[in-house]
Amino acid sequence: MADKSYPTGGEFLLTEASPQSVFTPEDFSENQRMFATTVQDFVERFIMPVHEELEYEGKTELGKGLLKEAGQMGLLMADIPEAYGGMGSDKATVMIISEYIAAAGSFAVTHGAQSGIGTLPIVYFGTEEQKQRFLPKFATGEMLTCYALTEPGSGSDALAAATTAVLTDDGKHYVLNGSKQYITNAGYAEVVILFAKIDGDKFTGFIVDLGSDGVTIGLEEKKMGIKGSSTRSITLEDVKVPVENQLGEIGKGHHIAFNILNVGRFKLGASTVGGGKLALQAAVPYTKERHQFGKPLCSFGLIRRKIADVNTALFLAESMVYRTAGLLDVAIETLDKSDPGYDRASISQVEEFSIECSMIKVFATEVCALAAEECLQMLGGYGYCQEYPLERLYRDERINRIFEGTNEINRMLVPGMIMKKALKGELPFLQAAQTVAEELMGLPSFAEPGEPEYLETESKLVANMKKVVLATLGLAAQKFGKGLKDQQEVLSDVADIIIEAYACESALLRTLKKADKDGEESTRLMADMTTLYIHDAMDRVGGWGRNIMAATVEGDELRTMLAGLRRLTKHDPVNRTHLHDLIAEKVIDADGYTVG
Amino acid sequence: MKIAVCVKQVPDSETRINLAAPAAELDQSGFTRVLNPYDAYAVEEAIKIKEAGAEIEVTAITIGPDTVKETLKKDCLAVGCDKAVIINDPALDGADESALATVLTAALGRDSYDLILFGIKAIDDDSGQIGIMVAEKMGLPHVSTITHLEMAEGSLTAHREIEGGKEVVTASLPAVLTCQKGLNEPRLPSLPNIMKAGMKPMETLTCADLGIEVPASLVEIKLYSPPPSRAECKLVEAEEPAAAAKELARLLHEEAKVI
Repeated sequence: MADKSYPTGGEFLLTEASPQSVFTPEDFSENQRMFATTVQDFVERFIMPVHEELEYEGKTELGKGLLKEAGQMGLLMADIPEAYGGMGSDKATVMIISEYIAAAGSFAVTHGAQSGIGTLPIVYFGTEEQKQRFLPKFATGEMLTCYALTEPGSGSDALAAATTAVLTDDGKHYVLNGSKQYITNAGYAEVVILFAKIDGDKFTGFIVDLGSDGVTIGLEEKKMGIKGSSTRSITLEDVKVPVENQLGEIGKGHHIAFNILNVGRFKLGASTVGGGKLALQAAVPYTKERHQFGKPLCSFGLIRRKIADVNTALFLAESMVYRTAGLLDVAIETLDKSDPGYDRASISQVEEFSIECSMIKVFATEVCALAAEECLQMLGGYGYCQEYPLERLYRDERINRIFEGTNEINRMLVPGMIMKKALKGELPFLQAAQTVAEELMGLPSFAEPGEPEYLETESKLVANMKKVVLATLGLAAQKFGKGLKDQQEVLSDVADIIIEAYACESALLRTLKKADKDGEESTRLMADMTTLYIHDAMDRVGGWGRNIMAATVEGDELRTMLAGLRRLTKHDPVNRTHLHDLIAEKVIDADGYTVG
Repeated sequence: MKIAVCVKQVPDSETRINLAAPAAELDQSGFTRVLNPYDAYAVEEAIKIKEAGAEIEVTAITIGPDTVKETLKKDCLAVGCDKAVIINDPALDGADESALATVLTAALGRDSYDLILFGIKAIDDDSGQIGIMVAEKMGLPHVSTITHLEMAEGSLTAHREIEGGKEVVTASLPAVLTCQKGLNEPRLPSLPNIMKAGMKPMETLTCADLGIEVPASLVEIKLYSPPPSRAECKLVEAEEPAAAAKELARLLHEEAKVI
């Protein structure tokens, strides 16, 4: 990216962002806040009355009517351009809707399949005619859609799909054969966007009418969670698809597939933040009412620690998700909306931030898992019973770490994409890595630090985390060269450090931005959470760094590198118990997630 | 035809009230503010009448501070009201029902409304007086506590709840109605309509703009802190009075540490 007038993907590793440049939940507009409460009202009015039937009786067919209601309220149109009956919302708004629709449980997945993956391929890659034909009907819910990428034989390795498409002799149709599985909303969708290989090798997108001859919809999968969403297979036997329904360029289906995954990832980041908040909201009031040994549970240190840790992790995830939303929106705003190629260009801007999208997918889904795990534990035996919501949240959460690219795949992508950008010259990573390597090999500085300013220690720790990334990834790249892509453990450890650095910096910048606006006194909770998390994270970063170095070099070189790493990760411990106590107090008072 | 809906912004019913002792002042900083639920029935009914007819304009009118704008936008304009009027005058802080009814009467007098709708009461002070007071001050017929409404040319027929039954009342227009639960199910705003609502006219006025003096209030509301809660009472149980006395002495000495 030669144009440096707006931020670029992965750039956070090499530059210092200013607090004023990050988008935070404190910056939500009036409309965005109203959308959030409207989504809450929708859930209350339409989803809660059928909650039992959806989540415990598996009545997946209810999703159809609920999608129509959601369509009436405009909940399906955020991503659709105004010219095709949508709202053409910015990404922050899309994420807010995703976060709040999480309270709908299984229906959140149903909603995402219709408004996200089922719609976006046409928004970004459809022809003008296709957009006009489908998008206005998708926007209102008049036509229901779904998306099929996974096949029985190909999941993470999506391009290994076996479905074929052959052009008929008259050139008017493609004949499709193959099988797709785990398709959300397949039970009632009228069209599906799927991929097939033309001439056996050109992976290409198609819009297929599910009423066509030769289409067979399988039975509902018996899933561990999200039981109210319809998940079925689709089998295609000599299905004739008009050539007008071929989507995007022939042989470029992977552009559609990967870009749609990217969008799915940042949206999933937002919805898992929402899910994690629900878990905390379900647990905290219980810990106040439940008494053991003559005291409420929330007065016990280990319960308070759980409450504080979950709230803090959610704060980090939330900061990271909306910072990324802001990055995407700033990048998209640089485009000319009147340009006919605007939609296509805007997905390229999202692609620019695929590193960030993968990071928030991994981080937020794992925070949601932590929230479900710890909040269930706070309820003890009750948490294990279906009468309380944690049992469901715990089961439902599990899929988030599997779909939209497993967290393992996404971990491989993070350093992988950084290296790709570095080698293309888009990110001056290798030069920066060289500078850090020299610093590590050199003599330590013996300068006496003065009294730290507000969050200065944390700022330094974040800067050092980034140096650890440069040092470890730079070292691994140097040692393994092209073979680095096969060093999955090393790459995963590097990814974890990068993700922590991004998460920590997002929280830090958000805290500094709020303190600048509202003063340090009213930002105390955020600052305490930032301090707690960054210190904890630095200990983990040190561990991953050691593992990477030990897996990469040995002998004197290893000893020198480890000494450098110790300097970078060195930090005095904080009084975690005290911080847990302060944070928990506020969360208990607020009956759930709070930033102060 | 012109319809006015008089609405009020109230704290959400789940709001936790923190009395900032000892000043006996209501700490409103954490309040979530919503449209008074009974007023939502009034708004919905006005929109239904508008949708059933032609050239009907619905105006939402409220008295309150700047925070009412969000409620007017999301719960009035975004569901179908055409415009909104806010009377925002700091001099009206703490004004009683009679004073507020005088202000609303002046605001309603700026235009000629065929129908004026209120909720039966607001859920914050539960007073339920203003709608009827306005009708009296304007010299208009009113039907209170309505659960069903049919409009006709120049008149209306409403069902109103009475003890043990219902009363069917016909009134000529213009008229004032107060709306009860059961009248309808208020719709939720759609996201695109929330966006469009920002473009609808919203006018802010003071008493001076209405050409009236700030009316005097007859009622003064004062807040008092609740008395400090007493410590839990502990009952000393024993078979014999002597044993009870001994246990009491021990508790006073060891736990209360007063002897």
